[in-house]
Order: sequence, then C-alpha cells, then structure tokens
Amino acid sequence: MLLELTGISKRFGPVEVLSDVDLAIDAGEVCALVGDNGAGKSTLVKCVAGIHSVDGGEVRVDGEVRAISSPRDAAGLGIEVVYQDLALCDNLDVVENLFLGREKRRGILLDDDAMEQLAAETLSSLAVRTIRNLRQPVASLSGGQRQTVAIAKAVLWNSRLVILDEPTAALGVAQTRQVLELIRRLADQGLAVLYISHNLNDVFAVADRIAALYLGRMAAVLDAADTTQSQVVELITSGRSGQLGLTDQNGVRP
Amino acid sequence: MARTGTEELRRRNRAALVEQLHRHGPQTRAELTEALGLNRSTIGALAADLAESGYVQETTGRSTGSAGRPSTLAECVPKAATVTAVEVRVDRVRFALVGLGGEVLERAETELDGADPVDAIETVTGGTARDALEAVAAVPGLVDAGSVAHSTELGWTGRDLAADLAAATGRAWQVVDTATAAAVGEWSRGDAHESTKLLYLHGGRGLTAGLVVDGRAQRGGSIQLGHIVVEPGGRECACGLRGCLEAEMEVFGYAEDIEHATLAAGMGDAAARDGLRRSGEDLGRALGAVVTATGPDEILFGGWLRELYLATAAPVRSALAETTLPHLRSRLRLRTPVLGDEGALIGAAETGFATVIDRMR
Amino acid sequence: MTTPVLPQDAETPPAAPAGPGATRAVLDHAKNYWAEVRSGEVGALPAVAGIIALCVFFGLSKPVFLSVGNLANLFGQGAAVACIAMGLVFVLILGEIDLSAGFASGVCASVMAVILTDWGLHWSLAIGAALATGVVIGLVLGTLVVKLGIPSFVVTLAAFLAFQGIVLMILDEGSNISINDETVKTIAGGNLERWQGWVLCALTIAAFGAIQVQRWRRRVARSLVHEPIAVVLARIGALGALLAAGVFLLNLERSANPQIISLTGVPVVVAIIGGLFAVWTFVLHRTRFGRHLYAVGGNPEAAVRAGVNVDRVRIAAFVICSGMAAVGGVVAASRAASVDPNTGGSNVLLLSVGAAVIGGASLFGGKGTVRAALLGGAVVAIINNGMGLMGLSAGVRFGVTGAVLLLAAGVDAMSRGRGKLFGRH
Repeated sequence: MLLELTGISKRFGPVEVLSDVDLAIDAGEVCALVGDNGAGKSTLVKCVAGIHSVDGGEVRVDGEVRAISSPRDAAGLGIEVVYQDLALCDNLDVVENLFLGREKRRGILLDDDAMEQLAAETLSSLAVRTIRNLRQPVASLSGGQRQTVAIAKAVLWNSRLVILDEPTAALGVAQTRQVLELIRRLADQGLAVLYISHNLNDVFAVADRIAALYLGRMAAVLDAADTTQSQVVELITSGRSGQLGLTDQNGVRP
Repeated sequence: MARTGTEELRRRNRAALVEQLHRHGPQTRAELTEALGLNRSTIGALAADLAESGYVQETTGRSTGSAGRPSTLAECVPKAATVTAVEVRVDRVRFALVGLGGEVLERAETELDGADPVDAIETVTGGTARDALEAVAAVPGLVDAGSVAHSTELGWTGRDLAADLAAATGRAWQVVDTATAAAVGEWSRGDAHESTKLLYLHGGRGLTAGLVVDGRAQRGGSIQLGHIVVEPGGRECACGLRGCLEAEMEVFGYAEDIEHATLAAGMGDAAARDGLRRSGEDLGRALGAVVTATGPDEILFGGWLRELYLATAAPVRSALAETTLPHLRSRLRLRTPVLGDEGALIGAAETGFATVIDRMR
Repeated sequence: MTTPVLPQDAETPPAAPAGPGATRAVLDHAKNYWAEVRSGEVGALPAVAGIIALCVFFGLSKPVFLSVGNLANLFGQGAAVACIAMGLVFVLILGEIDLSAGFASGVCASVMAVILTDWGLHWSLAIGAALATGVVIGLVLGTLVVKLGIPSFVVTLAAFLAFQGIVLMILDEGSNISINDETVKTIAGGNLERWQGWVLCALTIAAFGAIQVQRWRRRVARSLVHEPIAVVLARIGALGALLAAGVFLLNLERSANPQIISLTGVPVVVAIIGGLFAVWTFVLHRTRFGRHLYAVGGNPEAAVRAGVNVDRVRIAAFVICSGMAAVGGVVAASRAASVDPNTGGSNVLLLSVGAAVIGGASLFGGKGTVRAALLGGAVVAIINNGMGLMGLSAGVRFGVTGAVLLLAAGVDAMSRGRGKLFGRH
C-alpha cells in the first residue's frame, strides 16, 4: 500500500471531527472520498497533506510510519494536493507554470526548450489534446484547461499520490469530462489518486474504490465494481446500507 | 530439416522486428535487443537483411541534447508496405493510405449524398487501392466473414460487401465492423494494449460493439449491442423485435444531441437528468448481458456513448454490478477511448498491417 | 509508445523550407502576431507608435529636433530617467512601488561627489561607494517591506522624505559640489571614437544574431514549434540596420563649429545603457530569478506553493531598483558636472515611473520588461526635449507628459479589459 491511514482522529476543541478513520490507497487506483458536508472529508485531506496534524492514529507510507506535519513533509513523500485556482500564475505561460520552482537550467540559463519538450511529452502521455499552444499565458485558458495544467504539474514532478478536492466543481459539462478522463489516466499511469467529489456520477466514472465518511467516521470502503449508487447514497446519508456501514459500540446499528 | 528450421526462425524474427518497429516507432539496436529478447548480433543481421529488402532503414538519431555520439535508429520505410483503410459512416466515407510504421501517406473524405458507399470508396481510394498490400473497410453494423449481416445505420441486411468492393475495385478487401476496428486501433495505438479481451462500444446511429482478443479482430466478435432486449415486450424496434436497447434507451432518439442532454442535466434540468439516468441503467443492463457472455477485461465507451458514460457512470456501473457475476466484474476496467474519432480508421489500417506481418512469418 | 497513426492533431511544426512554403510560414507568423495584438497582448506597440508619432510631429514643427546634435543630446537628457525606470520595472513587476528611487539616486550621487571632490579619492572608489549605497538602501527598504510587512508605498514614501533630508545633510545644508573628475564626466558627456562605435555595433549584432540563430536551431533540433528562419533573419537584419544607422548618424560631425571643437561618435552613455539593458533583459527572461520575479508578481500564493523563496525575490527586486537608482544618480551628476540638493529630486521619480508605465509595465504587477522602460523613457525624453525646442514653458511640458502617461495607462487598462473578454486578467 502506498498510503495507509489507521485509526486517524482529529479534534478541534471539544468537537471530534475525525474518529478512528482507516483508509488505504494503492498505486494505480483512484479512491473516491464521499460524504456529506461536515463529514470530515476536507479535514482528512488536510491531515494527509500536512496542513493539520493528527491527534491520534498512524500514517504509513510504503508501510513505514511517517509524521506529516507540514506540506513540505507531504511533498517530500510524493503527496501532492492540486488546489483549485491557487496553483497557477496567470501571467506565466503553460510551460513556465508547469516548471515553476523546479526550472531546468543549463548553467545559469533557463533551458526553456528542454522544459517545453518535456511538458509536451508529459501532456501527450496523458492524452491531453485540449492545450495546443504551450506558450500561451495561463490566463487565456478555460477552467478545464487550467485544471489540466495543475494536474499535469503533479505528474511532471513525479508525485506518487495526487489529492484532488472537488476538481470539477467549477467546470462546465464538457470540461468536467476532460478532467475525469485525465484523472483516470493518472491512475492508469501508476499514480495513486484520492478524489473528493459530491457528484456520484463523477465518482463512479473514475473510482476503483469508494470510501464513504459519515459524521467523522469511515462508514465503508467499497469496490466500485461491487457497489450501486443507492448503496453509496445510503452510506452518505445514514452511515449504513444493508449489511454495510457503521455499527455502534454494542454491535447494534445506530 | 535443420535448415528449414533456421529459415523459419529467421522469418519469424524478421516479422517480429518489423512488428516491433511498426508498433513502437524508431528504436536503437540496443532497445530492439531488449524488447525482442534476441542477441545483439542477431538484431544487427536482421536489420541489415531488412534494410536490403527495403523494409527498414537505419538513420542517425536526433541528438538528445546531452553529450555523446547520437545513436543509430532503425525505423520502418513507410512506402515498403502500405494499407488502404476506409471507414464508412452514414453520411460519408473516410479514407487513408497508411505506410508501414503508421505514417499517413494520403487521406481523403467524401460526402455520400445518398450515393452507394461502394461507389464512393472506388472514387475516394483512386488508384492507390490497387497498390496497397491490404485493403480494409470498417462498416457500422454486424459483420461476419466479409458480409454485413445487419446495419441499422446504413439500412443493409445481408450485403456481401467484400464481394461488392472486389468487383468495383478489382482487388480483395477485408471488412470489419466499426467497433471492432476501433478496438484494434485503441489496442495497438491507444491506451488499451494491456487488455487481453477488449470490448469497444460504439455509439453512432446504431449501437454496436466489437470484441478483440490480444488486439486481434475475432470472427464472431461483432456484437449488435443495440438489439439486446432490455425490456421484454417493450417498445417496438425498427428491427422487428420489442424492447431492444435502441428502442428503450431514452436518449437514443436524440443521440446526436447528447451534448445537449448532458448540458441540460448539468444545469439541473430534472427531466433531462432522469432521462439520462434511465438510459444509463438500460445501457448497464445490456452491458451486463454482454459481459456475462464474453467476459472482457476492459470496456471502452466510444462515439457518443463516451459522453453518456461520463455523465451517467453511476447508473451504468450500478446496473452492471447488479447484473454480472463478481468474478467477471472484479477485474473489469471501464474506460473511454483516447483516439477519439480516429479510432476506427486507425484500427482498420492496423487490421491490415496485422495481416501483412502475419504473412511475413 | 503510443503514436497515433493518423495524427491530425499531432501538430506538425511548420517547417521552413525555401520557396512559397516559407512565404506562407512568414505570413502565418504575422497573422499570429496580429491575433496576439488583438487579444490584448499589445506589448511594446503603443510606445513605439508614440515615439514615431512624436518624432514626426516635432520634426515637422521644429526641424532642428531631427538634427544629429539634438539626437545625441536626447540620450544625455533621458539617460538618468531611463536607468531609474529600468530598476523600477523590477519592483513594478512585483506589484510594489518605490517612491524613493529619485532621492535614492540623489543620495548616491551626493556620496560620490563628497568622496570625489571633498575627499579627493579615486573615481572608482567614489562610484563604487555610490553603487554600494544604492544596494544598502535597497536592502533596508526591501527588508522593511518584506519582513515587517509595511506596504511598499508607505515605506518608500517615508524614505522619499528621509532621503531628501539626507541629501541636504551630506551637502551641508544645500551647497553645491562640482565634479571635476574627467572620467566621471565622460560617463554622460563623452563620446566613443568612431571606430569604437562600429566595433561595438558589430559585436552587438554578432552576439544578438548568434543567440537568435542558436535558439532557432535548438528548437528545430527538438522539433518544437519554431518561427520560420526568414523571420529570425529579418529580425537580426532589422536590428542590424537600426544599429548601423544609429552609429552612422552619431559618427557624423555635430559640432556647431567643428574648427574649434569636434563632436563625433556614439555617446558613452548610450553604450552604458545598452549594456545595462542587455544584462537586465537577460536576468528577467533567461534566469530562474527573473522567472520567479514574474511568478511572485502574478500569484504570490502559487509561487510559495511551488517552493519559490518569495521573500528573497522581493528583497532582491528592491536592491536592483535602488542599485539602478544609484547608477541613474551617477549619470545625472556626471551630466550636470555637479551635485546639488535637487539631484534626483523634483520630477525625476515621477518621470521614471511614468516611463515604465508608458512602456507597458503595470502598477498591478506581473507585467513589464526592461525594453518597455527604455521605450517609455524615450517617450518622456522626446516630449521634454521637443517641447523645450518649441519654447513651451515647463508648465505645459508637465501637463503634456501627464496626459501621455494617462493615455498609456488607459491603453494598458483597455488592453486588460479586452484581454478579459478572452479570459485574461
């Protein structure tokens, strides 16, 4: 397992936002994280990304216990969070954005041609055909294209786990489809993807496994192939569905 | 005996080398040695041999920018073997003359305007069809051994297309269905080469599917997805049955306008959303039957079914989960194609090249 | 390896063969450029158009404006402002401002004058001390802005007032120190020998040509999208012709009375500004620092996330700005052959900011080039020079310069607005 969370809990003052959450994500799979507002999705993501520290439980990367206490720690372990719009500089072009902070150089000179070539290869390996001119400023791109650039950056930088928090929330229908296909391709190339979404269609379109959070607890982690939409809806809204889901302390379903 | 053995081995190795270069593009001898598992001197001899017969040429590779001498690359000579590929659609015929290695040497497209596709193919391929080693036509519908058993799109039933094309152009033709061709294309030039049993669903004016095993078109691999009955005794279908997927699927009527439906649903139109959901469920149920019968490890949603799948993945997969056995669905991958509109034409050409390379063995 | 067989979307870069194909490639290139202009990427266009229009206007109303003597004079007049404007571009790209650049140049010039004249030390020490003063000023300003988080407007406004006082203190309550050192006076007053001008011209063209052709060849080798070679050669040719014409004109005799004193050759200050222009352009566009500067100006949050050391980049920009102000101060002192409390004062700062903005830098950050500062500086210098020749009062000159600045800012705002329709900010 690339990433393994066991017994994660997190409190904000008296409020227990996450309680005893288990989740494992392997390379090459998309794990969708679903749950109602306030179920703890964002908190869980922030714990993995190093923005929050956990109050209890273990985070294992490649089977080894790791402390992730800052975004830098997370990045060092190959965990990359793709933020909606914060990640790109509008006045720079696509190549410049992709390599920002990790520019390739020849001596003290920037090697723009090498960067452009590498960017083109990366985008074509992801079958991205929507961005034709790599030298256009990011400001002139559509929302879907911007999201594509942000995601491609994660691939280019050899991240191993990419976390996407509602990447299609602000996109139109056609652009959503492009981003969904891109997410699927990330996993097919061997990256692990943790994908947070409200839209069950989007979840089913890309996910291999679906993890449902209910009031800070992990209701169930299911194979997408064995799951139906109504089961997931029940897990999100009541924490259980038939034999699946949470039981209370005495083994009685809440 | 021993002599024939080595001769046969050499032919096989030659074919393997050509296939490798055809599928993966120019490579150095070192890369070929690694990929084919032959020793370096064998590769050198084969390459020299193939260069002499004109299939392969060796060139100085482009420098990678780093120091060191640029390595010699072996690559296919496109003109050494060409394939004529044609894709027939309801309103047009698309043609490409493809050379060994995948280079497109010519391409053309012509509107049908009510003309018979065979005449259009004869015109559009011009003189080149005669010189190509193979000619392959991709047709939407149910195809078996060169003849089109049924095509909703073209309105044909039982037409021996291979014979008609041979009569019109004076050469032999292979006929495959569009979905199978696209499956071959995605397997050989797309992202599906890891699949051993690939099912491609094609949404055009009719719904068809093609099953390829290890990237090869199969006899009987052409499937009439649109005429699987999902609602016994349901609506009457143009084919004469009742409750076919094509008749039951709500969005089928405005399939060309799937963009509109998904857009409306995306903006919150409840009727559009319900229509899409039910269509997804119908598709998932029909797919359940196909999966149970054929056991693919990957399904690609092509044509307008790509839009439908991405917009209704939840009902499609839910219905699939309810109608298939766990061991069949646990290793099943659902994907969208990467070659887009080009898949069928690419696949038709690759079908031809598979035959060309087979003949070298 | 997944090469689609029918790559209708695999962009085949336009090769540049000879014959009709090449013509078409050039036409395509022109079309692309025009499309960029229409979508709001106006770049240096307004400034260049402005310079041409002003030259035509002043040339028609005062023919002496176009004389070689006046041309050489223009460089001298605009040099100090151009230097300060080049430095200001760096802080403007960050979306910051340095209001103290003018008086910082005054402080540095005073330091130089005192060391040179009062202490009688060597000119190299004096100029070195002036530049060091500029760097220290930049470090202090940058640290205050970056580490304490005081808005740059406030920090540099305070420095603007303080530096005015410091100049007075250095100059003993307003006395005037004259500069007699020949080397320092040569900076703004001297001319190169004729042959030196030609050699410099040839070297510049050769270097520019080599860089352009080398870059073109690398892109072809990597099969990246590249310009047609004809466009590259035309660009080299155009620059060459422009430089050669300039050197030729400046090598003509421009003295009113050549028998007594002969005035020929490229002014030294032109070579200095050319060199600074080349260095800073290189820094902005071809180094990691330059890339990070634009990134911080465009979206600091993204730059931080990308691991850019934002604080260091911002402090460095202030250091460069004040350092260039020091250069401007040295040039101004050299031209006036003296330093007084007004050096770097009055309107120097405002003209410099105006020059940068007229040239296309944006006060909102993320945008601006050194070339733009030079072009803007040229516009400002031409207006002042031309109107002076026409005998208009200083009041009218300020009014017109202000109007041009407003016009330039308007063009900027409009091109932004236009860009926005196409999704730009």
